[in-house]
Amino acid sequence: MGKERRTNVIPLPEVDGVTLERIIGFLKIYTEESFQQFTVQEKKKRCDEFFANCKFNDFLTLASASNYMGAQVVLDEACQRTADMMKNKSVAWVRKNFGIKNNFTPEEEEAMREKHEWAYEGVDPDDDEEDII
Amino acid sequence: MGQAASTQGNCPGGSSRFRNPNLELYQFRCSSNGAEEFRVDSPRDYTAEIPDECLALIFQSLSSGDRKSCSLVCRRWLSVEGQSRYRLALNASADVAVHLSKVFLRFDSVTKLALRCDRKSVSLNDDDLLFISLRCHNLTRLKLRGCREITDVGMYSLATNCKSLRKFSCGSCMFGAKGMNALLNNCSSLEELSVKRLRGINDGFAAEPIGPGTASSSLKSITLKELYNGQCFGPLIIGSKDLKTLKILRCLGDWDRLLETVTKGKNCLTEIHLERLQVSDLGLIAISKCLNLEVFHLVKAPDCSNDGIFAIAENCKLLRKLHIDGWRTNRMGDDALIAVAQNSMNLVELVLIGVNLSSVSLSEMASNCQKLERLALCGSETIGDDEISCVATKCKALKKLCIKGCRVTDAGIEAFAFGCPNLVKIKVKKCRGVTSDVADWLRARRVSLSVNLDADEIEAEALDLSTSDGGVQDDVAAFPPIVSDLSGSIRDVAAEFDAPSTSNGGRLPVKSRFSLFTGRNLMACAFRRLSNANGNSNNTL
Repeated sequence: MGKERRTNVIPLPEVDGVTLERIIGFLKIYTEESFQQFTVQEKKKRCDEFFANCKFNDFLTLASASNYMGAQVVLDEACQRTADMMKNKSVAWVRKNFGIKNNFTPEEEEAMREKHEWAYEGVDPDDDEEDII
Repeated sequence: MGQAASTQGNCPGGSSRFRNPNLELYQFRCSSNGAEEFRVDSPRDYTAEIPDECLALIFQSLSSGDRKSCSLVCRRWLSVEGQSRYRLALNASADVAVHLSKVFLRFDSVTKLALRCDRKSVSLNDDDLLFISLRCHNLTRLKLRGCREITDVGMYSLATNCKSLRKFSCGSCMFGAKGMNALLNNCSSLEELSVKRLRGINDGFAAEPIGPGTASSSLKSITLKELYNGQCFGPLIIGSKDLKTLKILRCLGDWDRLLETVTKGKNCLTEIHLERLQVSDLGLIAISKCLNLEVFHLVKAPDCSNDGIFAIAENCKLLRKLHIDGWRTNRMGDDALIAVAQNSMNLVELVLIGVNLSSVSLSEMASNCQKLERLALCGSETIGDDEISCVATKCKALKKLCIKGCRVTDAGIEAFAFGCPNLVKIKVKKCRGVTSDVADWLRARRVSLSVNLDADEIEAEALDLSTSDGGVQDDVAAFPPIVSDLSGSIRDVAAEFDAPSTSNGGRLPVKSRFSLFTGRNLMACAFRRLSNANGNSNNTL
C-alpha cells in the first residue's frame, strides 16, 4: 500500500473515484430539504434521474462501496435497483449478465428444480388488513 | 476496484447486520470456490466483489419466484438465498414431511412461515410440527391453513418451542381449546391472533374456556371467524386489557353480553368489526363506551337499529372509518346518518350498504363531515340523483367515491363535473341509469379524475362475497343460505378504496354462499329480519 504519510487524505482502497462521486452526489440530493418534501413518486423520479446512466454492475459496485462506507440510503437504493433489473429474469439470463459460472452438477440442478415444485408455492398473499405473514 | 479477499465457509445464518459503520468490522467475503483472478476473455462475476450481506439485501427486494431462480444460479447464491430467506410458504401435505429436514437445513433463518394444506390431501401431523418448531425456534409469525392432522399435542410443541411468536393465524384446523391455551400460556409476546373455523372447539356446549393466558397482556388484535363456539374465547377477549382490535365475523351465539363485559372496565379498543352476528343495540351501546374507537364495521346484524348507531356516534368522537351494511332491513336509515353527521367530525371514510337514505341526512352528513375523503353508497333504493348531488356540492374533501346499485342516472353524475374539488376517483357500478356517455363526458371535463363505470355489467347479484379459503364447500350442505345477499358486500366496496394494484387473485374469491345461520338463535334472528322488512319493530321470539 506504500509508505504511510501524514496527510489529510483518508485512503479508501475499496472504493473507486467514480463510485465515491456517486455516493456523495446521492447523499447530497438525499439530504436536501426539498428532496425530503417530495412525494414518493417525485422522490423516485429524482433518483431515477440521478441513476439514469448506471448499469447494473455499477449498482453492484455502488452497493459494495456504500456497504463499506456505511451509507445506508445509497446501499438500499443500489440493492433495490439491482433487484429491479433482475425481476422476472431467467436463471440463464442472470448467469450470463452477471458473469456467473454455474457450479452445480446437472444432477444437483435437476434435483433442486424438482424440490422447488412441491416445497414452496411462492409468496403467501397477505390478508388485506393484517400482515399476518 | 481492488481484488477480492476471500474467506472460506458460509456466512452464519441471518445474524449479521448489513451496515458497517465501523471500518474495522468490515468483512469482505467471496464465494467459497475462489475466483480471485479473472481472465480478460471470460465473463467476470460482477457479484464476486460484493459481500454476502449485500447479495442478501438484493434478494430481499425480489419476489419468491425470482428468489427461486436466484437460488439456482450458483452455489453461492443458493447458500446466500437460503440463509437470508426469512419468509416461507410451504405446501403442508403429508408427503412433504420426508423433505422437511432438507428444506429447513437450507432455510435456516425462517421467521415467518405459512403451512397450507389443500382439502384433498392429508396434512402434516404433530410430529412434523414438532420438527418444524424445533428448527424454526425464532418464528415470529405462523399461519396454518387446513392442517387437519395437527392436534392439541402438536400445538403444545409449537407453543413451547416457538415462544417468540407474535402473530398466529389458523384456518380450518382441528385442534381444540387445549392447543389454543397452550399457545396462549407460552407465547408471551403474542400480539395478533386470528382463528377461523377451528373444529376442535365445536363439541357441544361444554367447551373448555380459552384464555386469558400470559398472551393476554400482549395481545393487540383478535379475529374470530366462523366459529360455532366462539363464545369460549370470552375469557381471552375480556382478559386482554391492551386489546386494540376486535373482529368477530359470522360466529354463532349472542354477543351482547360479551361486549358488555369487555367494555365495562377500561379498554383501549380502537377498531371493532362485527359481521353477521347476533348482536343488538345493547351490544352497540356497550361499544359506545369505547371512547377511543376509530374504526367500526357493522355488517349484516339485523338486530341493530338507529339507536345503536346513535349511541356510538354520540360517544365515540374519534370515529374515522365507519362501514355499515344494513342488509336492507330498514332498521337503520336517516336517523343513524344524522347522528353520525352531528357527531363524527373526524370521519374520513364512510361506507353505507343496504341503508335507505334521503337527501336530508346525506346533505347534513356532507356539510358536517368536512374531513370525509372516501364515500361509498351501495344497494340503496332511495339514493338517486338528488341525493348524489348533495354529495357533489357539499363534500369538499372527498377524494374517492363509489356508487353501486343505486337509482342514479346520468344527471346525477354530471354534478361531479363541478362538485367535489378534490375528487380523484369515481366508480359507478350496477346503476342502470348511468351510461358510458356521461362517463366519457366527465372524463373530458375533469382530466385528472379517474372515472370507472361498468355500464353493461349484469352480474349475478346473489353471490355473497365471503373470504373463505376453500373449506366452505364442505359446509354448504350443512348451512343452506337463508337469505341471499343482493347488495354486495363490504369487502367488495372496501376494495374500491384500496390501491388498484393487481393483487394475487386471493383477495375476494367468490365462493359459494356461506351462511352460518342455522343455530336456533340465529334462525330466529333471520326471521326477525324478514318480518322487519315490512316495518315491524321489536319482534321478540
